[in-house]
Amino acid sequence: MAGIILKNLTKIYPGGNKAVDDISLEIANGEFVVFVGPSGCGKSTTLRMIAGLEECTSGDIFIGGEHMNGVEPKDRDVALVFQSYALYRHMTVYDNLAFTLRMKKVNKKEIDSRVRQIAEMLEIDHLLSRKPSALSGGESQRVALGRALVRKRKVYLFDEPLSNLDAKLRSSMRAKLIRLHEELGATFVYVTHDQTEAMTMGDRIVVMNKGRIMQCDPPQKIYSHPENMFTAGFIGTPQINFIDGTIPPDDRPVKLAVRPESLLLNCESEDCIYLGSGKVELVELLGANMNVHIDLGKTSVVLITEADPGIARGEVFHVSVRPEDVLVFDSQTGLVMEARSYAAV
Amino acid sequence: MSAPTLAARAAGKKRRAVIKIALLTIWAAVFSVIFLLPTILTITNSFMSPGEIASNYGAIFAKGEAGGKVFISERVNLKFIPDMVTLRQYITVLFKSPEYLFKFWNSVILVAPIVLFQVGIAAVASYGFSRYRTKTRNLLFFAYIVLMLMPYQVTLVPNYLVSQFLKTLNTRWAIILPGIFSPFAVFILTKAMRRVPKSIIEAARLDGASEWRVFTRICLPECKSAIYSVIILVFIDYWNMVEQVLILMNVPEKQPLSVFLSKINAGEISLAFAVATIYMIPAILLFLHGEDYLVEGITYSGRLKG
Repeated sequence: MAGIILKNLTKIYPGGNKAVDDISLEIANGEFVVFVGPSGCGKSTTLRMIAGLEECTSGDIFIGGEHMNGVEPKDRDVALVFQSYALYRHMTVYDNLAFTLRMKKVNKKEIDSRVRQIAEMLEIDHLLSRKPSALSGGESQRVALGRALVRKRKVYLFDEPLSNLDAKLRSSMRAKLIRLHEELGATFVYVTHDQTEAMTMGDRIVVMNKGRIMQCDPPQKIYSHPENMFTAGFIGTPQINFIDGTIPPDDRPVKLAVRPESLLLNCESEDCIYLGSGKVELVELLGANMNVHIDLGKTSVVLITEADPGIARGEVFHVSVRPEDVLVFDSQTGLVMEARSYAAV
Repeated sequence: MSAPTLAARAAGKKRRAVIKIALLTIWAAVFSVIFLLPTILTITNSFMSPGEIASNYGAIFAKGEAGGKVFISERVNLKFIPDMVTLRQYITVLFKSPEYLFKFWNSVILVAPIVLFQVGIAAVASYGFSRYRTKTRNLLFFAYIVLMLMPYQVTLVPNYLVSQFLKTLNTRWAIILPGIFSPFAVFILTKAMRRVPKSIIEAARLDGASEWRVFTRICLPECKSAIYSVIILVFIDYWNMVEQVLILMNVPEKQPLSVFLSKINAGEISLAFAVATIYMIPAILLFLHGEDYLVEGITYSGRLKG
């Protein structure tokens, strides 16, 4: 097990596409770090550079204190679970799991014992004689996971391993991965574009955009104290509401950001700040809660409230927010501002 | 629309489909029979006695002025079912005339190394073409395709000159060496290796496999169907070779059965059917053993030789 240090890491592909732009990050030993961001933000490229499958254009990678630039993937002692699972199609599940141990010339008895142990742990022991073509998505995913875990490695990397699974299976596999991380105490680096995975699994979340790290913090801090508009907008479902505003004394243009669950309907308290009134455009019932889309004239907002049959399309509501729930971002730089005094437009 | 009209339409549609399938089946059956007739004729006739063969096909040959047999155009009696089944042709070929078996062995020692080494070398070359990006890769591969598309007759003279230069003319190497370095297998296997998902190769590298292990343990098994189809096609191609042998190795005692077969046809017609049947066996066995792989390999490779 080992920590990872990325120093000024840059990756420019032939043709000039800058996939990763001068990122630096320290991942502690045993930490579970989740890289999240939109497609093409450079998260998978970063992961592949850590694995040694991509060469970095500049910068340094250290794993367990050892400089890894130029070191072959097989010599980095890292495991990677691929999005496509990348199982060896001509081998049985047993052989898939045993392959890495055979490459390391582990004796047959030890291989057998470790393969069966990991298969039992992942509940795939009844599949050992099957070929990957005879496995379901969830089973393939567990085999891929088993192949990574069967041999002890310094670092375990995951490249969107749950993205091909259905919602129910994804949820159970999330829980399994969290438990595995706790049991192994190893360093996990996980790439996803699914913010639910990011929020529920990681000790820290690294939010990336256009090859740069936008913020790297624990999930709760990322959610409640985003450092920039991108992070605020990317994390959270439904998306945070952005409202144009200005701040005194020079009426500097700003963006006010309010989480959907922080918006209030017809609030009568004096503490509440009135944002505007508008008609309900759409109501999305989600069981216990509902998303309510309200047109405030210059902008539309979405709020989450408890399911209420009284809220229907076409109804008019006053929308307010408590001052402490408002985030203020500089319109020019997109960075969060400390001052929370504002004048809503 | 009323229900009876809909039912009538459905019945009409079903009838048309049945007629279409029946016509297609008849069409396929007719063509199958046409293609199979020579093979069936050869096999059934191999169980005829020399006398019966002579009475059926003797008319196609006559004594020439010099005493040799020459072909004359007269109708022959194509007969499928022997009057009396006998193994005399086989007994003569297998036990009384070892010459045929020598020729068969000549075929084996020419074709086996060609197939073995051509597939081996092509596998390594195609791994290089599929895995490494170099400036000359596409140019080299293009050259392979151009060479592959050339008819054999075009490369025959350069092959002859090279054999002469290497002093391999009239030796088995004159056939084996050009056979080993044929571009056909490289083309088919490169296409197959390019289909191996990059992630599988990367997974193997992370699992600790060296380049050689990635090639032998991952890429080769992944391309099993393409390799098998190459083995079958190359085998059939060289098992039936005639021109190469006549030009590059015109030594009667080293000639394979394919060349000898044409001489038997002109001479001992009574044995030709048994020899041809024995000659077919390796190719048929190979095909039957790898039929599924062959179909899969050809389907994936997209195009075939020739």
